[in-house]
Amino acid sequence: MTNNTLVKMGIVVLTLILAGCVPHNIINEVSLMHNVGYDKEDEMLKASVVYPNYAESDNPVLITAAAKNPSSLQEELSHKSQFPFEIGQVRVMIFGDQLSRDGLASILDPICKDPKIGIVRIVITDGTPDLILSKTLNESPLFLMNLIDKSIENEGIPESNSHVMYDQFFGSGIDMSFPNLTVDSKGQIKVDGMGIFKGEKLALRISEKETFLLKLMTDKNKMGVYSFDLNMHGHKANIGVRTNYGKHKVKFIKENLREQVRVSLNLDVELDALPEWINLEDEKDLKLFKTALQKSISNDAELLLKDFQTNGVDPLGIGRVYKANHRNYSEKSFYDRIYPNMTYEVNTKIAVRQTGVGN
Amino acid sequence: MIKEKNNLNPTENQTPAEIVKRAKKSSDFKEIQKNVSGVQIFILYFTSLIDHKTMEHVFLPYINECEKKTGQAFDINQFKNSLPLEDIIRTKEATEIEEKIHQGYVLIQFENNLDDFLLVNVNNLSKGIRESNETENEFNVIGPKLGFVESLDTNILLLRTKVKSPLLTTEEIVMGTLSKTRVMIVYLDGITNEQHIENVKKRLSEIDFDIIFDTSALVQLIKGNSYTPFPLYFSSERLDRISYSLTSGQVVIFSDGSPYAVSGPTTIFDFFLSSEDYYYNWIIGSFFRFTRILAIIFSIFSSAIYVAVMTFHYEVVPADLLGPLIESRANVPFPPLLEVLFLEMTIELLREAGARLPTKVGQTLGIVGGIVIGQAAVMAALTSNILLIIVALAALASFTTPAIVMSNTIRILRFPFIIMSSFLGGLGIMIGFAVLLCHLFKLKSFDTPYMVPLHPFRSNSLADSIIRSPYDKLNKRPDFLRPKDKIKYSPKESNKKKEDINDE
Repeated sequence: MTNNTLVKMGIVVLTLILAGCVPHNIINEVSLMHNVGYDKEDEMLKASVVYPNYAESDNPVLITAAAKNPSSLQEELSHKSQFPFEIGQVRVMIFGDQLSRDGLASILDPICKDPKIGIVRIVITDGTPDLILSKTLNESPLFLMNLIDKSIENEGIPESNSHVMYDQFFGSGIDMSFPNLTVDSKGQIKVDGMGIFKGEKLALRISEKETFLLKLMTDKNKMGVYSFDLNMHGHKANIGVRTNYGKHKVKFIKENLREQVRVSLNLDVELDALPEWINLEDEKDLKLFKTALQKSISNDAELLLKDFQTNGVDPLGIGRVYKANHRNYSEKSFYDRIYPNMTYEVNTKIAVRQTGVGN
Repeated sequence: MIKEKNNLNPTENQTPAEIVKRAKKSSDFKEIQKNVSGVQIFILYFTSLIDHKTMEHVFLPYINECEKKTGQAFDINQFKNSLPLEDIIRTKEATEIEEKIHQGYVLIQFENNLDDFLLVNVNNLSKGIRESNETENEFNVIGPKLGFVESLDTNILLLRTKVKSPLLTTEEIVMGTLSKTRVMIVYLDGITNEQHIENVKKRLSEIDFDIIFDTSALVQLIKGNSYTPFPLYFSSERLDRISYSLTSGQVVIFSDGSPYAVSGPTTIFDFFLSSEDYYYNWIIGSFFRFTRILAIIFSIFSSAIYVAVMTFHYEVVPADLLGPLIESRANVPFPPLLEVLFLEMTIELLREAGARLPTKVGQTLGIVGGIVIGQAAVMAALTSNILLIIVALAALASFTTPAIVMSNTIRILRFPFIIMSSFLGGLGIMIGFAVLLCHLFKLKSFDTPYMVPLHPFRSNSLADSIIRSPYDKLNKRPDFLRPKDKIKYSPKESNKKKEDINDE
């Protein structure tokens, strides 16, 4: 055997010996969790975790731990579990009300740095995460993830996950917004509106209807139901309209030395449950109906935008659009001087695509 | 090691009488004495090598005829010319005599002229050779089932009936100090590059070996680089497959006693071509070939990826799969590496046992091994259900390779990958893959790169690699073989008339 071969074999052997330092995470010997909740309680960070317990077919367990900083929090959690705590399979992160108001930065920072964490749905709750998590114990381990994904896909919640969060958190000219989870009076978990952040702190909660309007103005996916009061031919009714597809455009227009934001919405809608006094085959009825719907959406959207303006939050990313069009953009001066003085105009165009078989 | 000239070749400096004396030590060496025209003749032969029909119906009756004619004076030349057999040699050479009597020639010695000998060919080459020449190991659903047999002359006959061209040239070399095996180099004169032919001849002539058992052994002797698990020369028992290699400009080596012919220079893609690809429509053929290549990738990497994911990268498991994976592994006491090695070894054992057993027992073994052991292993919590599926699929996938030599290589390759992945996870697999690619890019078959047309990249030779192009695109011989005539055939331009589908 030549010297050269010995050297090569030596390298291989060394590699293998040194490789012994790589930590093993054998899949059934780590504590995996899908849902993590963070909250603040008396100056202590609190984490609640649900272990799904795939291995033993028992019920999942809720474990909570409290510590003063995120690193010790992980340690505290590990003390209470059978296997090392591993965060790589987390699918949903819930932030409690108290923590959201005090600022998320201390928690979001480690999340951004951990390469093990993939796409996580980040939500907030108006109560404590404990409550939400304890309600999921009897559900399948992925209940929360599926609930949020489905809401985003076709129920009027804007796209919201850790990647969107990175963009909104670190990007300039846009503010973070997360879906809000709540437990209703019957003890069921429900996606209810959204929380809008200013920087790292929760500034404003918006209702379900407003959330959908926000989705219409930000997302490519426009699935959701919009309900409005229709007043036509002397009849009054509340009508739900499902939007299937559409396009939005946000533009700046300078008008009388004031910046005006013009949002145009083109929506394809589906009408399935209409009262019998509307006859869509009648051109006049259709036109009246469309005008009423367009006006209602435009009004509601303008109100929402004004609401954002008065609270000083910008989940729409108007600052980003402004930055794209103006050379001398600075985030501070935009939000201090220009943003509070802007006017809004929303133009909506409706196309009725589907009316269902019954109509 | 210092090469010593072996002294097994005793014919040098021997007289014919000594040769005969030596041969008489064997019990199957016969001697018949006859008297023809007053001359005593000795008929000497190995009774085991000759064709008794020719001997009893042609040769001996003729000698008896001669015995009766007593009037004439004996003349060797006349005797030789009037013998009713085709292959008669008159010789004085001891070496030739030694060689020929071992090939089934009858030696005739004359009392009056002890230096002159006659060698009469009464051998029977097909003796002891199986009758059936159906392909047994490389099976096709459609297409001819004709394969080679252990007899060299039959094989050449089969080849000549397939390729009836004056270009088909054969060159014979006798190899093996003990076996004296006839090895034949076959090529298309004027098409195959001379460099390859010279290369083959040179490498064959350099070999010093005792018995050439099979061409596959021969291939190992001519191999440039023996530190590789990859087969550098294509061997096949299929007549159509070998004819195809021949016509694309490769050199083919046959050896007597081997039903496998070897062709070279080969590239790695040759091992994934099945002759069946060419019998199906090109779309279907390409699909099958593509499936085969995918199967090989799957076969090499699947169990390694399982080990890597189970040991290091739990993050990549899709959330819905996590439950079943953990559940099936929950009661397994071993780390994933041992679990995989245990199952892989089980499959290897099954395969090895199946190959050694007679066909009928082999089938039973498949059922016992596959179902009973597999199920029991899972029930006993030695392996997980999911791994059982992965390993069984990987084993199945490795058998899709048309060339058995390559499928063995692929099975072997799995193990380094499994071990690397258990040490370093995904990084280990990538390191292993990089090493494998480096190795493949370095390999050469008769001085032609093994990975061509991928590296060095030859876009015009890609037509018959991953996909099997239609026949009108396959009319060129691959450039990397440097054939002297590049065009195989010229497809006619089809008249593309736009016709109404309803135009009858």
